[in-house]
Amino acid sequence: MSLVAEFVKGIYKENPVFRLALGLCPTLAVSTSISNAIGMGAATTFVLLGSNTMVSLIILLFTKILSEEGQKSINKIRIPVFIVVIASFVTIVEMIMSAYFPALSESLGIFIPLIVVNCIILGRAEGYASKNPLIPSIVDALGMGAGFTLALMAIALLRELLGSGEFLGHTLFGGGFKPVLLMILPPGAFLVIGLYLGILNWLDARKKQS
Amino acid sequence: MNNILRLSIVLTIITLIAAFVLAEIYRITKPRIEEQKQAKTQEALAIVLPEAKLLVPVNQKVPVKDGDGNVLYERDEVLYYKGYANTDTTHLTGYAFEAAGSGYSSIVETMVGIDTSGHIKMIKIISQKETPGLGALCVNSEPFNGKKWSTLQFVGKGIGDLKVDKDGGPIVSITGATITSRAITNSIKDKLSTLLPELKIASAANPEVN
Repeated sequence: MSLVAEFVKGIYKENPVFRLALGLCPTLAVSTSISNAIGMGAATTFVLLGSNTMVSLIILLFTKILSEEGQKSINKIRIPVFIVVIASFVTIVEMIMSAYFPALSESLGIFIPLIVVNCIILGRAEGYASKNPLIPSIVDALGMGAGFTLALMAIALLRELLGSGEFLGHTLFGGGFKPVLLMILPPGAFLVIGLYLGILNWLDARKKQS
Repeated sequence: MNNILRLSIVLTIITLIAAFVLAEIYRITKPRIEEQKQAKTQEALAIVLPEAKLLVPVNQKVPVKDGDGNVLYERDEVLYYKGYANTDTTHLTGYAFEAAGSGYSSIVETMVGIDTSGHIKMIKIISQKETPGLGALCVNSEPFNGKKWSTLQFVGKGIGDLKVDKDGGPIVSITGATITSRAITNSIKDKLSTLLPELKIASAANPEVN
């Protein structure tokens, strides 16, 4: 697969939220406003980039210095190694965010440390970066990160618009508009995600038929 | 045996590297994080005690204990701030303190300014992670119209007035978020009831202490 295709697949064909249905928990929680979606997407992309790069490099190192049998045995501790790498990057993001972007770290709160258990990160480390060379792994991380960010933004766009009548924090409607509170609350996230999933599946089904 | 040794060595090396990197980044970001916290406190203080030119923190020693109850060391914790209207300490204009109470989904922290007779000058919500659209409305500081929650409704209230309408008091609670309103109101009241005797403000000015 070419690098471009590798990048693009994360956005549509293998979109982590809409296609792989990974990382739904943070998706439900932080898609209440577009600025939160962008912040969470950027943080997740950074962690993905860091972990995919490191995992790919560590595996490369192992294949270089270890015998065939050694590689086989080292395979047993690959998950703990991945988790150490991922947790380190998440902690770095958390510290940098609270030092330089206090407002963002305030509004994303608990969901930054929870990136550690976001299935997208471990899924890509285990499913992609540990089996592919460095450059494709980096591209895969960027594509998946972009796909996650775009999915979050798409959900947040609807929720923010309907739930608080705002776009990027700017009030859009006059005083007569009464926001649909439900859209900001968790049920709103389920409704919007379900809607998007339904539309995508419908488009796919139509494509297959024709 | 050889195998276990090899796995342990690899895992140890990887965790050591991770620990080293994290320690370095912690060292770099820590002063910035402290600074941000400080700036936030100062900003809140300027809002609740606007005419105070000099703020002197009054500290309290809080013992830090280990698991067996032995005192390890004593930590300084700001109990309250004394606000002076001029740059020397001759003209006392009021006090400021932080109150914290458990809301619906988070600890709500409020900075409170009181005058020398123990009445509230202004309050400001410093941190909260309540439900967006409901409890999160507690930060609202629009002019108070008598019907809708605003932090401005606390201006001039004494300790006896600190009770939400659901509990038969004069504080108008947030629609659909009585728990949040109660958390804020009661946390201020609790802190006041321990501080007023300490500041030697006669509770006679606040007949309804309860």
